[in-house]
Formats: sequence, C-alpha cells, structure tokens
Amino acid sequence: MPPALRRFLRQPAAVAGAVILLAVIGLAAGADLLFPEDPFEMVGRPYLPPMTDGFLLGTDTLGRDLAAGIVHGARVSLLIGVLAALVVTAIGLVVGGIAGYAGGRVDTALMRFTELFQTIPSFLFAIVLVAILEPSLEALLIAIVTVSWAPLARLVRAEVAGLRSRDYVQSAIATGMGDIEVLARQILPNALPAILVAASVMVATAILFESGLSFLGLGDPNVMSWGLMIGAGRAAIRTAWWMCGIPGIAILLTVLSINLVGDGLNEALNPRAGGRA
Amino acid sequence: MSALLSVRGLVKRHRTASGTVHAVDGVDFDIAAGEVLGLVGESGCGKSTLGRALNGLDPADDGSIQFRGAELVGLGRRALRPHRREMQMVFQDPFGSLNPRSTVGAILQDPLRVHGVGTRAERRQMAAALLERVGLRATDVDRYPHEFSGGQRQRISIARAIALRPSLVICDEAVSALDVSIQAQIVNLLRSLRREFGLSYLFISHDLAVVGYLSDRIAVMYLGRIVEIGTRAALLNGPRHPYTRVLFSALPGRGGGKAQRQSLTGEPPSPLNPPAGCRFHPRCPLAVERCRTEVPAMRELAGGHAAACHLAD
Repeated sequence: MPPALRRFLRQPAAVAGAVILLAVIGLAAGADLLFPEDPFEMVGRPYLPPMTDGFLLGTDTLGRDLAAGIVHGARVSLLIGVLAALVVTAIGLVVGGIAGYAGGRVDTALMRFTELFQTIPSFLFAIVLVAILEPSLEALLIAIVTVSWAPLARLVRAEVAGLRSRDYVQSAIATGMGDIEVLARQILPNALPAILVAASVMVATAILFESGLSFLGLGDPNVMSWGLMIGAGRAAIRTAWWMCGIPGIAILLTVLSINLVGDGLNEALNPRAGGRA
Repeated sequence: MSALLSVRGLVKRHRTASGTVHAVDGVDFDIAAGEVLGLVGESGCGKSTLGRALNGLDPADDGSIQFRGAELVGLGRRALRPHRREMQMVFQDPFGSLNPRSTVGAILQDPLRVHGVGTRAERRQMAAALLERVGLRATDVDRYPHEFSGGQRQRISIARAIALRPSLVICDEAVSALDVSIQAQIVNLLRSLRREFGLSYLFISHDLAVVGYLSDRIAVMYLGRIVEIGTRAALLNGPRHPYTRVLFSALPGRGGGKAQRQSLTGEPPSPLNPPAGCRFHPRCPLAVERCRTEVPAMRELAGGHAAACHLAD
C-alpha cells in the first residue's frame, strides 16, 4: 500500500468523508436504476411526509417524489462540481504555471488580470453571468468557473514560484532542460499535493454555487437539482420542513464529505510531522 | 596556457527595491583544461552569483565568458544548450538539489535524455554505472532521494554532474553542508573523478582548508571583485592582499598560532553602497589615504600571481 494511502486511511474523519462521498457517487450512478421515472413526474399526493405511502423521503408541493429528486440531483451536483473543478484546475495550472515560472512582467500582468476577477463579489458575479447566458447547465458551469478560477491560479503561481528556485529545478535548467519539461517533470509533481487539495475543495464550492443559483431559479429548469428542490419547497418550509430540509441535508453531507476528503488528502500528501525523511 | 574558460570584466547586477547590487563587479580569471580553481570569500561576496552567471542561470549583464573558444554572454537558452553539456553544476544543499519525486535513476538519466545520449536502455545502464563510480550501488537507481544520507545525496549530485562527461564542473559550496568526515570523502571523490576524466573544477567555497586541499590555483573574492589570484602555493605561503592575509591567518597550522592570527573588525560593507576607492579600505589594517580614493588595479606580482592592492609591491 502506498504510504500516502496509508496515511489517508489512518484518519477517521477522512475515511468517513470518503464513505459518504462514495455513497453519493453510487446513488448518482444508479439513479436511473433506482428511480427510472422522471423526477419531475407527479407520482403521489403532495405534502406527504417522509416514510408515508411508500415514499421514503415524502413528496413535495406538487406530489413529486423527493427521493427521486435527491438521487437525480446528486448527478447534477457531482457533474457540476467535478467539471467545474477540472476546468478551474486546468486554467489555474496554465495561468499560475506561466506566471510563477516566467516571473517578472509576465507574472505581474497575469496576476493583475487574476486580481480583477477577485475584486468582484463572486456570487453576484455568477448571478449576473447566468442571467446574461440564459439558465442552463453550461451557463452554470461557465459562471462558476469564471468566478472561481482566480484563487487556484494564485495558489499554483505561489507553488511554482516557490519551487522554481529550488536547486533541483535550477539544476535541470542548468542541464539544458526545456521550460515545458522543467515545469511538467520537476515543478508540477512537487506542486501536485497542494493543487489536488485545492481542487477537491473546489468541487464542494462548485456544488454550493450550483445549489445557490438553482435556489434562486437561475439553474437549468429542465434538470432536477438540490438547489431547485429547496427553492421549490421554500414556500412550504413551515408546514413541510422536509422539502427544504432533505435536499439541504444532502448538500450538507456531500460538501462536508468532500471537504473531509480534501483535508485527508492534504494530511496524506503533505505530511508535516516527520514525514520528510 | 590554453584556457578552457576565460572570464573578462564580468558584471552581474541584482536590482532590488533598495537599489542595484553589483553582486559581481568586473571579474577576470581563466581556468585551464584540467585545472581546479578555488574561489573563496565571505558569504555575500558574490561567489555563488559568479558561478550562476557562468552557466547562465543568472545571465551576466556585461563582460565576456569564453568557454571552449565560444562566447557565452548574450546567448539565449537554446544557443546555450550545447555549451551546458560541457559545464555542469553541483549545488550546496544535498537535500534541495535532487527532485524528491524522481527516482535516482531518473535524476541521473535526465541530463542524458535532454542531450539525446544513448537509447533508453543504454541510459539506464549508464545511470547504474555512474552510481557505482561515485561509490553507491547500481541497484540504488530505483530508490528515491529521501532514502539517502546527505553525503550519499551529494554523491548522486556529483554523478549527475559528470553524467555528460563535461569539461568543467562548478561546485558551489559542494561540501559545505556536510559533516567534516563526509566532506573528506566527497573531496577525495572529486579528486579521483578529476584524474579519471580530466575534469576542471571551479570550486566555490568559504572553507579555506578544503579549497587549499583541492585547488591548483585560488582566487579570493571580496564584495564582487577578485582581490587576489595565484597558485595555491603562492597564496598560502605569500598572500599579498591584506584581505587574503587575514583570511589565511585563520587557517589552523598557518601563521604561527593564535598570537599572529589576525581578525577583521566590522561587517563587510553593504554591496548596495560599496565604499569608494579600494572596497576593503574600511576594514583594512594597512589602509592609507590613497586607498580611500583610488580603486587599485589588478597587478601581476610574479608569474600568475596578481593582487589588487596599492601596497602590494
């Protein structure tokens, strides 16, 4: 077993997070098997509390099965979360990698450009972007990526700039290794732990963004998502808590599990206590 | 003397927030093929910057570096590449100079691969042979740097530096971070590699004992300039620059014991604002009026022995 995996498995919180996350992924993957019907379909009486009439999680104001919504919503949440994190990481690697490696004016120019995106409150910025782009999954993705790539680019830049001055990198340059190879073979493998941790947290952030935007009615109206469910149940929150509460718990558990896994990865990949030798 | 490396008027400036530092300010010296030049000086005198300027890690701002008959100053990275094959570097920190995520085999094969030496299988064999040559086991190729001690890592660094059979190896404080007993082993390894491959070294160090043991000639640097250069015997037996004298009087077994040991007062002046005239005059025990105003030129005192001091005649 690789030592990093062993260090991961030694952390109960990280393992708990991984178990929850795997369960969510399993539900999302099996959504069509568990609930083959469209989650928008009205299948029962409205306002059924959980565990009645064969509806495990009850029904919402229109009589839609909440369990089906949760399971199908998991797909959207994970899809948006993973895609956004991938795109954000890719942009961050390119922008931060170039800025940190090149230094000087290139660095200054790229970082000023990056800061431009950090000065605008990100949720408001995302709302504006989705409103301009017409609500759809693509629009959500574009909005989330646009407002969240900057911190990751800055992280990559800091890592790369720090590693660039290491002797083994200098040695590779002195040998005549090309820039791209130095970045890809000498610098990035050593920056990877920090980037991986940030990317995993990015998944959680993107899920929260998607839920928030869907709650406001800015999500894709044709796709069942947790935020949409909370938004739809909002009017009935005093009489039927489960319509908001259950998707809320789903978001909470998923985001929490991803953060736990992220922390666990951080601990496993960047061991501080005596792990250097 | 056919010079392998010939440096003239080399200048390297660092621009900082508080002004421009002339880290290397007009340095001249030669290294002959197969020769070891020791470069000594206090920390901050610019000796490491000089090494980095030579191989283009910190490109020089002015002056000339003739290496194997070619001018290196002003060359871009691509044009520098064939010359870098002939000029390799060993760094000070054995824990920072090897990529922690590469196996030792990959580290040793990197320079070979970059310069297109051999096939993949041949490179693997060469890496194993290099490890054996520097006193490690051929089977160590699959291990990672953190599995080795500081001295062993420095052996790996040296193996990497000689992988391409360069003509010049710049050793920047290559043994300074090691225990004394390990230092001796590494210094002896450097000596035997020199004999075997006809290597030249620029051996940068603040450790006079090591420099004296390894070098054919020694250059003494103070605040960005070489103040004295000559054969090891000339410098150890008859140093002419007051700075060299003070420096060498600190060597145990020289200068007749504690009574004659000289010490310097004060810190080296800030390189941001070096003193006028001779840069050493504020700390020089012999300074006269002329030293405060006039920069001493390098003057040849005897065959190959030169010093930059008004009083050295």
